[in-house]
Amino acid sequence: MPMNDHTPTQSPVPEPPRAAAVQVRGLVKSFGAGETTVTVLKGIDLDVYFGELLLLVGESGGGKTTLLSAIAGILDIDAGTLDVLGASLTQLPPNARTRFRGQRMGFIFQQFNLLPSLTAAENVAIPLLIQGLRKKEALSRGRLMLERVGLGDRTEFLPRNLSGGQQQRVAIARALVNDPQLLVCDEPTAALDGPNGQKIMELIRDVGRAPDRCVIVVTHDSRVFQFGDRMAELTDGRIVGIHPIQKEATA
Amino acid sequence: MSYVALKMLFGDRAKYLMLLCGLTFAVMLIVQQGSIFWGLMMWSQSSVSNINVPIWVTDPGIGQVDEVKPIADTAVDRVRSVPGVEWAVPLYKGVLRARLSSGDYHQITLTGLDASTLIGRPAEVLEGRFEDILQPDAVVLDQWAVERMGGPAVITIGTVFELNDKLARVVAIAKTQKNFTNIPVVYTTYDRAIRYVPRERRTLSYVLAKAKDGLTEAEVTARIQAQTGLGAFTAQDFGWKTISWVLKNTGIGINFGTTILLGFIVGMAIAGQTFYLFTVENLRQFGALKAMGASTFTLARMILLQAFTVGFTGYGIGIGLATGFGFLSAKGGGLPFVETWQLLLVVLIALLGICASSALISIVKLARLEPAIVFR
Repeated sequence: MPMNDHTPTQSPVPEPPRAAAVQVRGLVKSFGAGETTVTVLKGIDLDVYFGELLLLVGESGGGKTTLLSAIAGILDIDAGTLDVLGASLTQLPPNARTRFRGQRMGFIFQQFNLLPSLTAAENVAIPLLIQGLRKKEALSRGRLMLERVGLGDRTEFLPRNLSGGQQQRVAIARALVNDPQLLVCDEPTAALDGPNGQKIMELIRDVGRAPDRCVIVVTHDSRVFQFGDRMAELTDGRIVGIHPIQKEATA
Repeated sequence: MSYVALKMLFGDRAKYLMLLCGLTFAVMLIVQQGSIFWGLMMWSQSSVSNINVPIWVTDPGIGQVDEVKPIADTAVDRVRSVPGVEWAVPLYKGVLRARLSSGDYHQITLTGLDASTLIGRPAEVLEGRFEDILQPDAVVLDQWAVERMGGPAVITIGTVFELNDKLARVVAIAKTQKNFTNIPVVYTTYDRAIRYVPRERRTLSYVLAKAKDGLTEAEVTARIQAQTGLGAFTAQDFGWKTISWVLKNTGIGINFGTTILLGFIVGMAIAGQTFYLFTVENLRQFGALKAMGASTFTLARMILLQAFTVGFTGYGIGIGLATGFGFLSAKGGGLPFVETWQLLLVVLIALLGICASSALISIVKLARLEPAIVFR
């Protein structure tokens, strides 16, 4: 994997104990059946702590997105345990898991996945509408969140009238509008050019990371490594290393 | 989420319009063809509705109102003698040729009414006085007779023509519902009608009767049948008997039924396919909604709302277009077009079926959708 000057290093000092927002133990996930079975995750152990931004990196097909989907509760696993924000996701029935996602998690997608016929404010308000908030209140909070991500003057724009970077900002606002404790991001800069990708990662770091929140970002873009606290590297369905990212190197 | 669902629907304008057009076309086709079909059925029994009496008595083997099977003249008295009959009068009904002074011939239906009561006369007279039918050689024509026999320039009050070489003089023009065969109707008195037609052993076509107050028509018709051996029908039953005969003995039912079925299938196919495409193309968006906490039930409600919104809109426009067609083309009763609330209800149920089926296909797709699709 290409590394720039934000090379992960082994932490020389033992870290103080922190509360784990996500605890993954022995996670196994396969696709297909019979002779065509492909085991994508082969016993993953991983902790993600409150207040940190974890980068999931690794080669294509290594299982990053599958692991992220499992942690987000949108993909059933075959074996292992998955404790997220104090709840055992594997024990939750599907409807409860759906509610849990809506109330406690925020999602940022590579392709933004904004609804094309809804304005920016309406797109941001979707998670609140799903929770049953009244339209007026949801839109009002959506506009406020857009201001936080620097799009206060674009609230009534349709996605097609926004640049890629602006669309991703809308997606970030949408992910944060219900104040989630876990923010999961899949290649958030992949559809953006370098400077826009940097800005988006700055925004995710600034608004996404808080003491009672954690962020997991799947990426293969080495230019954004500097924004992470730790980096977990997946290869062939296994975590081959978890490293803190040396902040001095990012300065 | 209703708001989001509707914005998604209206936002994809091309598909929305395609869906709307498909459903509107289906509704319009079904309502238009259904109304024309029912209009034709009403025409087929217009001889019953134009005469407008409660009980019809005739040969028991009769199939429909225009298939006259003459009965003995004594039938009138026999019916009068049945307990519960308020009154009974004779009616002649037969087909003749009218010869105009120009030499043109026209086939007409001659209707002979009881002269003392004129029971069976049309309710509305457009020109002249119906009572003048009692004058010598007097006849009353319906408006279709005027139209078929040359128009107001040729046929007007005072016009004379021949029926079987005997003089007939127009004294009034009456308004009637058009009949299935579109043969003009000429009214005269029963006795004069008998003189117009060639002599036959039996000339009485029908006995028209009414039940006494306090008795139902069904009871009295049963008594007439039992006591006289004749066929007795309430006007409603006779009308349905006629409609049933037409359906069994002509291809009308199959023809219209096929068209209506085609409308239903075309509507179903267009709506189902477009709606499915609409869902498939928005699959990632629906997946994102699912990932963000929207349950399958919520998504199903959104899909149903979209389907029924476009369905009800198409229903309204389709009904409007069909009604407009009926209003313009069937103005004055020239074309058969009878739009009933029962038809509209049936079409609504059919449309709801189309929408529900279309939505169901999409809902099944969404229920099976893994939200993880958004990360692929």
